[in-house]
Amino acid sequence: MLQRVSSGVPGASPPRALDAGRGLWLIVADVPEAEYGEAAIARGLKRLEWVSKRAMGHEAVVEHFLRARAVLPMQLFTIFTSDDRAIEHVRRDRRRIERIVKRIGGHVEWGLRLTWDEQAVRAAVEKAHRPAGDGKTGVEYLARKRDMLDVKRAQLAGAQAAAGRLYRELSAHASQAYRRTSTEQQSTPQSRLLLDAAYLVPARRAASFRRALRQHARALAVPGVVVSLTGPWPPYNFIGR
Amino acid sequence: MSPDRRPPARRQAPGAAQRILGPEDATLLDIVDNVLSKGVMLTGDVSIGLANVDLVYARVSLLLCAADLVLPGESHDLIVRHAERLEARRRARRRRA
Repeated sequence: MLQRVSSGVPGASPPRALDAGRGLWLIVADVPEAEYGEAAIARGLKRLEWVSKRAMGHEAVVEHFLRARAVLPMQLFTIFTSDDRAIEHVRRDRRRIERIVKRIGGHVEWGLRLTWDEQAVRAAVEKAHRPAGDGKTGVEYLARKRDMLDVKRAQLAGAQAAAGRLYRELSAHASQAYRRTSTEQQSTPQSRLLLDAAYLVPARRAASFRRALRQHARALAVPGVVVSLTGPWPPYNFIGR
Repeated sequence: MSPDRRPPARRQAPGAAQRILGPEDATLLDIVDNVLSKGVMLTGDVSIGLANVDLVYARVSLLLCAADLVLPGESHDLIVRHAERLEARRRARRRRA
């Protein structure tokens, strides 16, 4: 049994380490079949709260090993019927696993998101573009509306270009970078994602990576852009790349 | 994520981009997204309904931008707990440094 490790997913035994040979260890826990059989999981997957609790438990155990030489997170609900079966699967996949270890060893992941705060931009634009007349005639009203729409479009285009620039500049400070354009495109106009990116950064260079982000973000100078950085994460986005 | 858990913002240049940076405020939805759809894939003995996972995943992706608005109170507690854990870890790191 491992000391001081989080208890993992609900209903599970405390985590144990299984020796898979040649320096590889599997961190496992036993779960009751009634709660983690196929049918139970299929039911649970439909409820975000159920999934969330298990996701947090899984993540807590993975994070405990963030300072290990390399930690390879398994997908949630990777379940085997015995320790031997688990070790057998890892042995069979050994070459792929060792390739991944080589690439992500000593690294952590940082997540960078740039969002576009449309309300803040609208407020700023309205303040800066007060109507020339008293704004009471229909023509003046429509002209002002059109002007503001143009300004907003131009500002969004500027912000999008700046986000692309920041992504590229910061990539120079990481071993690998990944931009998730699919979530960027799915975001709504009210809270538009300009950038959804992940960076694979050597753990010992975390401070200089954050310093670089701060410098580049300061230089952005585009109104309405909110920058958020999360991490350090296990290198989730770089396992399969 | 509750804003009062963030470290004080940097003061020198309070532009929009500076409201930001620094806090390691991972969100619950990121975690769900990561542990469900990423990581080393081994074919386990229990096969889980992939279609269902895709459904959850699609939903999670769409919610990513507005986590605080859409999550029920219970899940928000989970986020807060996670933030507290991160904060404790940061403090421990600072003590070591």
